[in-house]
Amino acid sequence: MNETPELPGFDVAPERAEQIRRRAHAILRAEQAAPPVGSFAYRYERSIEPALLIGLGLCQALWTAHGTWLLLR
Amino acid sequence: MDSEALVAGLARGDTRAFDAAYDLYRAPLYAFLVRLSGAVALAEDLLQETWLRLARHSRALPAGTELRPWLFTVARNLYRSHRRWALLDAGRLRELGLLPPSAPQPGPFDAAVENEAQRELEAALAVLPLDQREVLLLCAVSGFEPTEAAAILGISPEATRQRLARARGRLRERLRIREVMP
Repeated sequence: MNETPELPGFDVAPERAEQIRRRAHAILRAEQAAPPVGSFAYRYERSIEPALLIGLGLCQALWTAHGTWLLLR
Repeated sequence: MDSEALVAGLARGDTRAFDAAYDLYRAPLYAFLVRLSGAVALAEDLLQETWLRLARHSRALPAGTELRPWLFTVARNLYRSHRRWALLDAGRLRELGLLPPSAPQPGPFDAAVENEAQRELEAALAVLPLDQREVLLLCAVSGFEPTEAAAILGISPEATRQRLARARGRLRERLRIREVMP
């Protein structure tokens, strides 16, 4: 775009920028308090527990569907 | 502070590293989002979500991560995702006859542009198809190399170059039409 004029840069309003910064700092601090990356607690929180909950939910749904099917048969 | 030091600082949860990255990349990222979306309020929301995602993922960032492309990738994907849902919503509302006709509103660049040429360029950029607009914003405005832009867009460098050439041609054409028919 060498033949075209340069576009002006602009920034978000200072109050909004500060609000975003404060929110991000709060998240950073919360993340710091969480278990270290790679530890068992971290893996449990991020993958094992959600997988267990999804598995249990699926079992519950299958069990309910099976029970309903037996009732209607 | 270079990108490597910033990523290392973020991995430690260092708020000073976050602030350094925020001060460095906030304005270009915001300008990118405003031009991509054409809406200030939406751009602010997407900007916030981008930075909050960085805070949330700061500890898991791999050591060699290039922060600037990472941020632009997240911002672009957030906009794409928002657009998909917005199109679905608008389509459904239109089907039900509930969507009011949109009134013309002042553009987000009105306060920032300094002359008529810039205003025309912003207007021509705003009506480009999204695929072409984003590649042009990344390469010509934000200063990414086509290979970096390709990684952000998730396409090959060759496809990026072709898309960029098409976008430049279309932009030139639009500017010429505006010159002939003011």
